[in-house]
Amino acid sequence: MDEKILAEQAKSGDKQAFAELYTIYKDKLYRYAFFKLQNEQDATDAVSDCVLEAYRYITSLKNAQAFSGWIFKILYRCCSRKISEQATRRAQTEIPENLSYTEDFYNLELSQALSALTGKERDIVLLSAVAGYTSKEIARLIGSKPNTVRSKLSRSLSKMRELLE
Amino acid sequence: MKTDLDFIKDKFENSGVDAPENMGKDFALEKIAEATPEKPKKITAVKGLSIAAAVALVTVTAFGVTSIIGNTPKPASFSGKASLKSFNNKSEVRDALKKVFDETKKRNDYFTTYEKGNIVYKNDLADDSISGAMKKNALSSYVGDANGSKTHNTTYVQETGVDEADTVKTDGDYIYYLCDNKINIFSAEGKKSKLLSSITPKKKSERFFNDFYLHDNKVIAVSQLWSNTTRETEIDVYDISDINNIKLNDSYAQSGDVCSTRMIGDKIYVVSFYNADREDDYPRCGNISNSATPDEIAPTDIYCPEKPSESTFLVVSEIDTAGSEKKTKSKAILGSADEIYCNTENLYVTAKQYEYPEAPKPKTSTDDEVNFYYTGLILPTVTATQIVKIDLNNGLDFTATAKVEGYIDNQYSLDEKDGCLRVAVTKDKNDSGNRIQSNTLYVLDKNLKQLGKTNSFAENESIKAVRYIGDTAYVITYEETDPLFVIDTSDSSNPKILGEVKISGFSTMLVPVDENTLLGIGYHAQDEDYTDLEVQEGLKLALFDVSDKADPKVLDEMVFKDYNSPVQYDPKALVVNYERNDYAIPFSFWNYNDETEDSESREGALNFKVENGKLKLIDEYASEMFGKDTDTVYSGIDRCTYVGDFIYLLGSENDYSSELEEYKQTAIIDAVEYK
Repeated sequence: MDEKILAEQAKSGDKQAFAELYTIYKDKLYRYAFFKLQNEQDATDAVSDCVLEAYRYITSLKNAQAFSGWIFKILYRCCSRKISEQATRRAQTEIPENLSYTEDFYNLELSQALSALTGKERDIVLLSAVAGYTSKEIARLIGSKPNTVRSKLSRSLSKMRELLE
Repeated sequence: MKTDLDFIKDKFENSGVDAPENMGKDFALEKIAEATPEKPKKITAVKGLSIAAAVALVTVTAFGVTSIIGNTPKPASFSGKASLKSFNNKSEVRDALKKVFDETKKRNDYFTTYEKGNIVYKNDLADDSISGAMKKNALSSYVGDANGSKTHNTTYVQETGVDEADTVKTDGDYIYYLCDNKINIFSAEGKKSKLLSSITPKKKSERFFNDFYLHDNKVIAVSQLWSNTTRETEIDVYDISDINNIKLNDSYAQSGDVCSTRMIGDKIYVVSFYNADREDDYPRCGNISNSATPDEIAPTDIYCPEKPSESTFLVVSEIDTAGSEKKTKSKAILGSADEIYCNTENLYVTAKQYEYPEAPKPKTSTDDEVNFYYTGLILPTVTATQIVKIDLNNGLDFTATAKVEGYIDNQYSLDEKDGCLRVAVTKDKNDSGNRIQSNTLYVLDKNLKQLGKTNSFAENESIKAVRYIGDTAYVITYEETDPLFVIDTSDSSNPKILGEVKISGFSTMLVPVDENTLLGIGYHAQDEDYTDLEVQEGLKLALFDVSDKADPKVLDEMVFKDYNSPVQYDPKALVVNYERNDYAIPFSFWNYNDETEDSESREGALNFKVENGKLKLIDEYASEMFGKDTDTVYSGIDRCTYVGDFIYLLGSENDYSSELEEYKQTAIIDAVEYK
């Protein structure tokens, strides 16, 4: 089914069409959240929140062709909220939480490569390599200048490549 | 050969990380089963996520561990809340460090892999987003040239008579611009300006120019040395009396990373923080023109608070760049350094103190895994700010220390008047899971003892800009709207909030225009209509009438949607022309239309003034040299300055076409005549 048509239908409230669209992007969405939040549970929560929020605010999707960018923006915000929550949880915890953080996470070579970057660089790499944004779009999303994004992206990708090759 | 991007993209796609089985179409349908689409509406914003910077606002970390020194160092003359003692000899210094390491290790054994006692977050904290290292501008006094050479811009500084380093300077004949780790020297010839010369640091792969001063036919460059074994702050004094034959006169080095510097007359004051890794690490400072290693600082010039909790040394030195004897004076204290405020009499060094939450025990015992595991998860809260007062006229004596609850925004949050220090802080409190912020202004006496403070104000907001004018403090806080608070500090024991006014967006810099008018420069913010978040959407200028302190008013506002300017986070980017009585700032504009997927962009300078209580845009100059954006070349504006009738725009051209290096950067200059 053509994505654009699905998006038009979703815009008018069609839940099936919306869910269908979601399945096209679900792996990328989850992947983004997982690498950003560094654990399964939070990633699941963030994607969950994102799905609900995206549907509720579907009318703000202006251009059916821009669905991907639009939904990742929402996911980006959901992840940011999760990060704040993580911090608050950490600060409050007296008894060590029974964390569902997976050991697998830091066994992944990608995770190790990502850890060599700064938070902002990680954001930029994920937004580019997983969410598929252009430097300009990333700049707009995170409030940087396109050239800053571009140079950080270029540096980060080559740093990661060195570690992964 | 695959591009880096494709290579990494593939890695992600083949990582094996996919949405779990139970998160397919049915999952989505279930999630939205009860939901209905909303009509877009304007919702008053809750704290914008871009202000997530409030959660991690730091440049340097410090541990809040208490421990007590075993030996009895010799007491030095001091006053203030915390007593400072100096060491008798080197082994006492070593013992003190050992004690701190032991305490730190015990409490934070999950963090032992953290480099130099700092958490891995150090990288994140150095991010270029709103960080504690923001520098602020102050209204500088006009400097004309007795020789009759053209009037020109001077660095916007906080205190008259105290110069601050910058990446752009001019003396009216040449324009000096730091770019690509070189100090580029351009002629100031309007549109015909060209690159004449440049200064490169020696060992340029390890040494990075930070910023510099222009003084008395010299360039005094501040740089950072980062080698495998050493981290040092270096001061190089170059003779530029002949631009074609620049000579390096002297070099000085000081242990640690540079915190900040100031120049008063010929003397440069350098404040650095030196993280000790081992007990034997010892702070140094001295002239290295003839020897590779600077001298050790005498143990009797190293101080220790009663309960040292840092394995970091705050090092402060006075270096005479002109004296024939070229003496340097240095002192150090076991403690950290984040921001400094300096006037002609005293230097105040502040450091944030943190509280770290308890980390749960890791499942595995490999340090690397623990190290990585906690990256991104632990965020400390700033609980207090340590202040050290140093007497510049008395051999850098540490006069007093104090600790105030809360954290400061930047150097402009402090000001000394009639011997009293005024400090405006934001406090973060965790109240059963809710983060509550509040703000207070303290007045401390010459021994940094508290004389008075205001009531807590602007709950759930944090300070974005502060300006002290006479007895009045103007404070901008932000959450959704930008209240400007007017605080009277004429009675030190009872500073009082006199009035406030709200406008949307927020200023990060306040500029006195005249005694009744204040200019605010900062961000425009508006609601994103599909979520309840306010997003920064451009540059904003605001004009306030503060003639009636109890009832400040907004005179005018000017919004530049989708414009950005470094002046929003770096006050030195503001160019004030006192002759013409106007302002110039660099800008970059970029707009993306979601519907048409078209984007437009331009970069250049905005020239504006305040006239009859209104903001007036004189000129928007879009430069052809900046804003180029092809696949391989990008040119961006960084700063501007002025000489005579021209505004000069400075930035860089970045060439990504080479396969071999990441990108090639060249400094470029453009000029536009004042209208």
